Amino acid sequence: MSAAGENSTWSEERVRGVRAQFPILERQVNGRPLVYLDNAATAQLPRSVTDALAQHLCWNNANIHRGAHALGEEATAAYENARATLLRFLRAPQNSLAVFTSGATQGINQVARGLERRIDAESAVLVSALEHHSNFLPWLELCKRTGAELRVAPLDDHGDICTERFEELLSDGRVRICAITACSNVTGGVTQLEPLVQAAHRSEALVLVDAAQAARALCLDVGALGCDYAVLSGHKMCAPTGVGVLYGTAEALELLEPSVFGGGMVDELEGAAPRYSALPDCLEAGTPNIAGAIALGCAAEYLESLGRSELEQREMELTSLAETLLAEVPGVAVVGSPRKRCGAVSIVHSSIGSYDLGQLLDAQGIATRSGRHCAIPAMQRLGAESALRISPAFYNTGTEIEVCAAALERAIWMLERY
Amino acid sequence: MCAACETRERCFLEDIELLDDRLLQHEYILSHIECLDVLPPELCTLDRKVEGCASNAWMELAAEDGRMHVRMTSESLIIKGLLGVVTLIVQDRPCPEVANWEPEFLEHPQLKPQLTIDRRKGLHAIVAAIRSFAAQQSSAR
Repeated sequence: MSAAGENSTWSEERVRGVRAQFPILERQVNGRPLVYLDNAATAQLPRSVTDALAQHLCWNNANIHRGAHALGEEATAAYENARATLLRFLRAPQNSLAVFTSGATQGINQVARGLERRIDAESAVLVSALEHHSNFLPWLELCKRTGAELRVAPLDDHGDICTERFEELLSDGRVRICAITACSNVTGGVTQLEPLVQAAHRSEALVLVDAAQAARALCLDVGALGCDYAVLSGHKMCAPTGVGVLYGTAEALELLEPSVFGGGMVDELEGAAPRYSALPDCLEAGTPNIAGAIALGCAAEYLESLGRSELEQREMELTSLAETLLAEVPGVAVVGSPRKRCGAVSIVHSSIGSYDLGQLLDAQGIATRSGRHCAIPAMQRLGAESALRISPAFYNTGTEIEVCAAALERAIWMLERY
Repeated sequence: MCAACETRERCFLEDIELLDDRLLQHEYILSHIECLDVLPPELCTLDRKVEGCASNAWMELAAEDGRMHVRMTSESLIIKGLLGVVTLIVQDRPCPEVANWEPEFLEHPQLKPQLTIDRRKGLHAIVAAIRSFAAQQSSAR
């Protein structure tokens, strides 16, 4: 029996109880029970989150901060309460803040734009070859605008960021900011962040951690880590799409110039000299996604309620099981061999393309993802043009992983005959 | 097989309708790979590449004695199967008939869910290019 089966840290009763919170898992797709293994793209929402969303929209819906009425006060309180919850979720230290964004992509762009005047042709920006395009393109474009040099830390043979090379790329003191993922969306490889953050800080570079992929399963302690910025995406941590968080120390966020302008961010406006509001308001122009932020706070509470280390253990077990079973399928190779893998396993087949495999898995009710996963540099380095990604979450079962491996074998058998 | 495009397409759709399982439908589509006149690898060049297809696909269109002749291929086996279906429908049919063919299969309720939006877009582009070529050939005559 599998690691995530009878030997799992979660009892079958607990798994059943958790799954009961996710109505979507009861669905049938193409005449078969849904096996949802595309959690690295979007995780599902528990009832507590959808209930909070409905509660807000049905009973408390109003704009925040500006209304002199009960609903406005209730919405403001819920929104700010969500902000406080997310800071606790991140183990944020005193004197740090959470800015609500539309997701990790917007958060990273906000930092890249916000630092622009501090970056010049003498500067360098350091990313890794493991990054999702959302943590690559904003820096590439920043470097194009400013003439700064974009440095890309290579991967080692496992597919992890090479710490030694990362440190070497910092050595001339020109790097102003390092932007690194906490967990790869391709390999599921978990970055050992501490040495990278320490090395960057020794070189007086800022550090942004892309925690979009990591936040659901891995207990990120930004206080202990000491990063300057971190970004989250709600939809990867059981909240709706369209909401996320840019975390930063107050000192680091003060460095950012606003890049989006509008209502709710200005205290005084006389002539051409606006006086922008204090953080975080100056970075939240316009009406934010209030309902999404409240739901995200609720999702963070839900994940906390499961026990963060138990949740991490659970996802590690399921990922490990997926890696083992998929690697046993004839013709299949697992992409990368990171030292610690959580939440995603990508595979390639020796002769069959990932889109065909994904389509035949869908025909069997199994949701996975095919392609380059918005991480072309990583895919190139890992020698995969296109890969099928299986990404379990804590509510999946060992049996579902086994069903997926069997369905993959069936798909390959079908396709290999042509 | 000398039936008209519409008849050929209808026969294919009737067969698909008999299959109530997605996997069997895919199996049936894959079986049409044998209908392809496969474009050889050395002719899979940029000018023959189909734009908008998530999996690379190539085609070469020709008219012989006023009849349509298509050679196609793709990196994807499922797309190859669907290109085989297109080949089955249009191959050796008179160009005016191909130009006037109003394809149904890509929007058919049992086939549409089989294809991602990207893949459907690519196949629409292929069918449109075939019909446009056939129309040009028809007017040239």
